Amino acid sequence: MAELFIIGQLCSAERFPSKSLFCKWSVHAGTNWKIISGHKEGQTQVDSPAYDTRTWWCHPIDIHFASKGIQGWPKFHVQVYHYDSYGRSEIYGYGFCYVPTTPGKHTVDCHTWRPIGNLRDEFRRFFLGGGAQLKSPDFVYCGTDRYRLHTESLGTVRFQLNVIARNFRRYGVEL
Amino acid sequence: MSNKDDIDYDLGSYRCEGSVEHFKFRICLEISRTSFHHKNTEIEKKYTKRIEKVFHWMEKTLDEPQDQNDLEETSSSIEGKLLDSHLITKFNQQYNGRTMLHDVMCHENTLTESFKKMGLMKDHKKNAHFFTKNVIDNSPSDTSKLQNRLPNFNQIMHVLLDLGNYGTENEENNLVLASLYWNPNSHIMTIFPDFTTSNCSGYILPISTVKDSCFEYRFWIENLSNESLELITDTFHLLKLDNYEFYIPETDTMEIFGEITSASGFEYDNIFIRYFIDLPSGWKCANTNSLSGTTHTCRRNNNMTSIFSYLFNVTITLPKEIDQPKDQPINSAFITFIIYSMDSWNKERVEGYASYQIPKFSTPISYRNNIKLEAWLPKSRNCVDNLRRYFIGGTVKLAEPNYIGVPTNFNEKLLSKFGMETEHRGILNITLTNLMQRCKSIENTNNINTSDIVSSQALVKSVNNVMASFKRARQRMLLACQPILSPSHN
Repeated sequence: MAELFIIGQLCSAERFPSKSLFCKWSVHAGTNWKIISGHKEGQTQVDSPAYDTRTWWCHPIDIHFASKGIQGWPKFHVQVYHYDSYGRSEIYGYGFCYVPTTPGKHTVDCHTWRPIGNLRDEFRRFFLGGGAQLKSPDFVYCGTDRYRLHTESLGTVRFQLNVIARNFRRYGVEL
Repeated sequence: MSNKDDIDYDLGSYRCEGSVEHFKFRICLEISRTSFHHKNTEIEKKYTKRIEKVFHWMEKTLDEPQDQNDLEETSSSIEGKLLDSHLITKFNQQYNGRTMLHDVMCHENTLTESFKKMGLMKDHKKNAHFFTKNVIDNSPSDTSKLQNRLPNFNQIMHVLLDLGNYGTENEENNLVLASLYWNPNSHIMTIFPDFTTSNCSGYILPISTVKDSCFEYRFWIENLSNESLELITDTFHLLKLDNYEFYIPETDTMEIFGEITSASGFEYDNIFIRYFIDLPSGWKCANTNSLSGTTHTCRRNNNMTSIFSYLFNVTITLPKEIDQPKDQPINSAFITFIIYSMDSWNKERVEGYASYQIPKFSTPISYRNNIKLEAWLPKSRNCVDNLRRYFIGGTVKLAEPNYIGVPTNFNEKLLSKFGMETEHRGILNITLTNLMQRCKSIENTNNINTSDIVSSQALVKSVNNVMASFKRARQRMLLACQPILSPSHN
């Protein structure tokens, strides 16, 4: 059995329309992968930077996977939310990225997008907030059905990950 | 780097055929007193004592204590114990005939309590006329176990090393060397630690140190049941269970994990991207639907960037070297991207073409982040085409997307794209990972990776091998010189 360790942090976010943000992250992997220890999802705190252009969370990520095959390599899914002064939270972006396969230290930038509606919805979103959200994010994981969406680009979430792999070479996988 | 001699201190599961009474295994124990100086890290072995014993299943043995030997000369108290160390076995048989789940039986709960009380009540004279029928069978026979499908528990056998003096059965002196669990129902034998291969360095027990000398206990477990190949009735065969092993395909496989991250610098807004993967002939993909796909449509932000974060993965099986046809136009896989834009009138325009070659051989870094592909569009000198692009949509397009790389119907020797005019459009950001997994084959059982041959790892590995064999030779020389060097031996 091969093992994969992902140790790092969900660092920061930038280039979102507002700076008071929190993030819900989760790791998804195929059926070949099993989590031995560590949390596979979490939610960061709300950070509102006063001067900095970046929103910092530094949320720890420590996951230990056991794997029976390389299909279904784990990937991260982030949802960035905006927490405004009225206490409402609205979705600011969905992002997906693969866990790096090469062992070592990586800085992974996960770009996010958000679905948009027609002109009337956008007008309403500008004044009232809220707006189109995905009913279930599971629908967009594999990507085959995504072409029907109309989206807009938002900011970037940064991960700093250290990846350690064990026993992959023994089964012929060269990482 | 993993050494061929390294062995994991791990569980081994085996499916067994035959009767368990014919199971035998041998444990070789080597006790050596080593001198370990803090200044140099070399461990020189002196005064090695070796004990070997063959065990049968559920054999209760008490080895004869060894005679006084040359380890006696030291005066330390711990070393005195070595004189009488012998191997003993201990076994547990846990099976219970009650028709309950076996993990319930291990705990004290209301069910077990009530069964106990019922048993006590039965013995009481007052209740003799109630319990005329014996409802509880404390030790059922094998036939009733089979008839009632009672759960069978593991039979456990431990092999212990007794370090105490002769005659004293002190529990603290016993160290468990190996444990064997046998399940008669499923015929699965689990042994912890696993059997050792013939040329490995054995398992080491935790050692005890006294000043600057310490003892090292090293042992090997060998399976003696599989020695005869013909199927005689009184043999016991063990077949390793591979349930937990990794999936290894029959042929070399390449997994591609790709991500279309973003696109920037294109002329019109609301961009979506289609990708196609072209494989050379001979390469196969099980799921051809994964070879092409479309992203969602994205409006660009203030930086003129559209973000997709579109993940896809493809599994490609590579042909064996013998089967690969020669003279094919392309030798490795290409990914072609076509960038489209859709405006508010639903006019679709092609914004650019880009392509990337997927490396055929695995490189030291399989994860390539932030690959920037420059996209271009064929340009026409005709002004009518430009007007058409502006008003109606529809541009000068390539007839076949794979013209970007090498066209599929290309058969000549010289690829010439003279005459096509293009202009640079925007940039596409992708992240690509390709993982190569080698199949099980005869060449690979020696753990030789082809990348090792060409890389510096091969050099380091060979240097390490030379140094290891030099170290072994030096130890042999020192052992041979000992009668001359050591004082006051006998």
